[in-house]
Amino acid sequence: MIHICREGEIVPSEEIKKKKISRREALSTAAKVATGVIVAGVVAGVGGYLAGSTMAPAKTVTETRTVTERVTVTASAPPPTTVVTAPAKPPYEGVKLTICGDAGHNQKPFYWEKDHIAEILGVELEIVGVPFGELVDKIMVDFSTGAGEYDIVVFPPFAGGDFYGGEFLVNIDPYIEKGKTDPEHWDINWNDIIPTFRELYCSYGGKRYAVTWDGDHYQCYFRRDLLLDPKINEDFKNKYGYKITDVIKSGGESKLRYDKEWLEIAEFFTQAYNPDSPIKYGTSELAGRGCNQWHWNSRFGSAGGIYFDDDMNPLINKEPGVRALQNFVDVIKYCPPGVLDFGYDEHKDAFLLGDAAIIVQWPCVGKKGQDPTQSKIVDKLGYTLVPGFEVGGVLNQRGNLAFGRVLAISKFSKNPEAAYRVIQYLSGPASWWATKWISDPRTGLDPFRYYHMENPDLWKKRWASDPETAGISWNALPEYLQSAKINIEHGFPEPTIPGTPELYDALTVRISAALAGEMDPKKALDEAAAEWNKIIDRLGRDYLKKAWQALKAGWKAVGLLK
Amino acid sequence: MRKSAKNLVKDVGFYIFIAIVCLIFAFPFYWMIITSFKIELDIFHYPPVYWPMRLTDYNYRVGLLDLWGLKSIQDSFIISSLNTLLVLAVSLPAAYALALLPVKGKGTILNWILSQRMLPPIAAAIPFFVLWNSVGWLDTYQALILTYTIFNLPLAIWLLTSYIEELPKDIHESALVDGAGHLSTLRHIIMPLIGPSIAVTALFTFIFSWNEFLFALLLTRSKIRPFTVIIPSLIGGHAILWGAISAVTLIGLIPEIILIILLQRHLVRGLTLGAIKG
Amino acid sequence: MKQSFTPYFFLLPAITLILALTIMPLIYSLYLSVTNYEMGRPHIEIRFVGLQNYIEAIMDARFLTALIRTFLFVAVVVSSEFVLGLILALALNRNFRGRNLVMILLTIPFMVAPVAVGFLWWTIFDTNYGPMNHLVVDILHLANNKISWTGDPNIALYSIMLVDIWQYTPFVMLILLAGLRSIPAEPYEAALIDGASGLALFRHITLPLLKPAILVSLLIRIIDSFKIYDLVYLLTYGGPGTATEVASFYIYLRGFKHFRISYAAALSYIILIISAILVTVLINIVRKGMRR
Repeated sequence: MIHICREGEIVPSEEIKKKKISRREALSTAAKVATGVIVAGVVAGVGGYLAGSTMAPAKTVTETRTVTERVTVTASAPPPTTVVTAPAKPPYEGVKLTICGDAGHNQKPFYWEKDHIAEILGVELEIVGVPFGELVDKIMVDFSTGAGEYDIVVFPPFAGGDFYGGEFLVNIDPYIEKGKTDPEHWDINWNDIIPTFRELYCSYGGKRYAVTWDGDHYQCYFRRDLLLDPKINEDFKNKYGYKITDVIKSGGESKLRYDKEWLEIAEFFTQAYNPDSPIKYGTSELAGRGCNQWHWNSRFGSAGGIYFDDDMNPLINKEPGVRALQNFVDVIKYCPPGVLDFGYDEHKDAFLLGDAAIIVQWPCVGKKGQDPTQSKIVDKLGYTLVPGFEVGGVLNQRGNLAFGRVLAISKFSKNPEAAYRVIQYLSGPASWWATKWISDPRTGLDPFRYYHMENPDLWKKRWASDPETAGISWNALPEYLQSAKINIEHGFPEPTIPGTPELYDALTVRISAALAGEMDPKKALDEAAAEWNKIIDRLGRDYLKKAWQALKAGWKAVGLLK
Repeated sequence: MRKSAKNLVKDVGFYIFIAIVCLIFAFPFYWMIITSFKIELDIFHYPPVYWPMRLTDYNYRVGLLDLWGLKSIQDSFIISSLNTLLVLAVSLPAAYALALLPVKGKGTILNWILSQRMLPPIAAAIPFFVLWNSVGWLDTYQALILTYTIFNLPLAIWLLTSYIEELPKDIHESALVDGAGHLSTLRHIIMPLIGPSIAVTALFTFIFSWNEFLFALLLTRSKIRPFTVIIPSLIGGHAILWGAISAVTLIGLIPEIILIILLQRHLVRGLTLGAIKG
Repeated sequence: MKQSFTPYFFLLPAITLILALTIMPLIYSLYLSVTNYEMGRPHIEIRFVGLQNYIEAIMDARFLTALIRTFLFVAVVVSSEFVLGLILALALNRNFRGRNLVMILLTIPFMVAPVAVGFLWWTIFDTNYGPMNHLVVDILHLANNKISWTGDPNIALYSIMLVDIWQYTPFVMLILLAGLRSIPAEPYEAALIDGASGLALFRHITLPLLKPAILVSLLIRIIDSFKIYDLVYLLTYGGPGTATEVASFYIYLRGFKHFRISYAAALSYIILIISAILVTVLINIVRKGMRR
């Protein structure tokens, strides 16, 4: 028992005096404590009451922005009314469904549509938000413990392997079938979803389990005011022998090679290598741990890589993988400092705040680029096909269909039919509001249907309908949509077998090491592949072979495999 | 004259030193306070804005209402206060027994109680996760309230025992001679005498529950969102809401800071498990 | 005699709770650690695997590195907090105007939620907008380019150490100050009469008499800093790469992100044993030191 030696302590008689006085002190301290507790209790009580009425309609606030006139900002705008009319008696009256997705602005559409869903379907939708980084874990806990708290889940397809493979999701084929005879209520316009999404991410073993909700893909964004500028092109030609405009076309299929034009353009625009560069850095990368595997995936797919062979041996450390990682390492010197820790925001900001000339990033960069509160380069963006590698004389350009979201129904749901109807409602039959949230810069959701790509006027209609978005103008929207369509069609999937989070961890940590110069790329990938083998063996090679076979059909359907 | 000049220099030097120390420890909080009132353009501005001229309450509204800030503080409050009540109810009798009654193996029990402190939370997180899951109590208030007793109970028992031990022995003996039973002695004599100590113990327990992160993170999912879990969950995703997070953090820290000020004089004793009297 | 049972009744609730909530999970965790259970993998048949997880853990280079990293963290952080805390305690061991306010200010860093502290520093450390870089690069000119405090694999761990030192130096100071204040005046008076100088006073009187406080503060800080998790989670999430993967974080990663509950249970047990040995050794040192 620790007990300090008694030299420094006070003599007992003084202690008693202290105790006697302390009774008065006791009262005053008690009073202080009581007041504190009461105050805290009142705060919490009021807070609880307010929290209960959280998603009440908007509070309007006026703020001044750099734009000269005052713009009215709404904290959460109510949606414009839809064209779908409510039936006399909603079919699922009294049904309560819980939808779980990543918290934040990507859940706004659920809040916007909650009341309409109640009107039209009778379903009371409870919206649950989980932190982005924990989404997959928490859903997995719900499934594997059988808690079944969620009816509809929103998740990134790379976690699909664990969910499909664990048979935790409801097969939606029967519901889609009903759409043939009753399109208004059951059809989700499956063929309108761009094939790479629907074949690679929503199907498993020939059955359909999920519907795309967010079409994340990679596009190549560049500063058109710099890269298409004639004078700059002259200087570039003098140095490298060709003009940038020869290889880049906004809205079209550029012909950029990672190991040639990409590096040269990046070098030209990095002030450390070219003091005349009008911009600080040539490019930026998503090089942080947990994200860098996506940019490696893009290069890997472009170099002709496939993740596994038919015996589930990893192929990531073969020539395409090494070529991909080596190029990734070569690009780092043209990126802003701190790039090795860049996540989504830092990478996007490097471009939107004017520090990088050309990057590969998610589609939201396009719409955020037009928002003056998020971007310093409004109207200066160009959009094009991502770079690639030459394989056997053919330029192979593939962007990773990284992350994204799909909607699926938990097998623990007590009312899967109602859940499907909600999904169907959100996916939208062909009415203009299917583009409602895709076009809204306040969400991170991106287009994934041909319908979204081919109707820029609907985007404008959507903006005009809401005071907060009414100020958006985007002349280059058609180019952006064209580029999106091309990039999606050239998409390369993530590995979506069970255990992908663990596989990714083994990979991303070594990519980080290689990028930081701590490891040779070949060695890094060899180690990653060795760990992949261990993981595959532990999870069951045969089990995974089955999963891989189930996915291969999708790969073949989009031409990635013969 | 020379001597007082030297003293003056020493004094001024001392106050400068104190000022620098205060600056170092106060600045991060100052930074968070002003960030919570800044507009977005000033937050993402370089060089940093140390004295913002433009203020807004937007962050508070977004943070507390849109982002569940108030709910999370409410959740933390429920968990911390119920845990404190539970801990007090259990530790008072235990401390009474350990301090005043002949208990066999007292030293062992006390040592064992101390040893709880060395348990790294993560080592306990996994079994607790599996345990609460097996009774369907993941994502509930009671799971956290009970889990926190593991860490708060040893401290509370230890503190209360040492406070009771300091009372004059004759008080206890005279009460027993008067024929009072142990329970009524505890309630009517001991407890009033150590009133402030109970308050101190309660405040420590409350603060430690309020601050806890790891178990809150792992044992909750979506229904319960304690304040400590809300903070990292708001970081990441598509938008960094520094202003809003600062607002929520600040509101969450205010109850703590009030309690800390109240606890001021008793801190050393509480933090060193009574080994050093403050 | 009714009296002889009462103590045990009074202790019963506390002991029951502690037993139930400690022993049961510990046993269950032990059981898990000798199986191959993984969350969410219904196709894997749960079976007894003996010491396989433990063997894998001992050969797991990433785990061993995490342990070493944790020890490094503890060593740097505790020694820095001790030195700085001592200096502060000596400085504040006198009455001056505003002392109470300063004391209140100094207790806030280590009493508020570590996660909140992590967030505070995260904004301060921000490479592009944070005041830290402003201070280091533009005001003090200690570096030419902006430093990536949490993104540079070489300094990320030290940045976290910096935050921990900021957070807990006042804690050490507080304890040492309490120790200082309890030292009586007589030894000093006697020594001054004998003509001793400032430094000798410090070495031969202050330090020895302060020993109990020093030992207690070191003991508590070593035990507590070994468990470091919150700051890592918030500031770097184990990255960049594995640069800040400390022991607790690695266990979290394996157990809750990769769903390998059984392996994480084994890792936890190893940590528990190391912790127990560490604490026992330290407490013995402290006890011996106090007995003088």
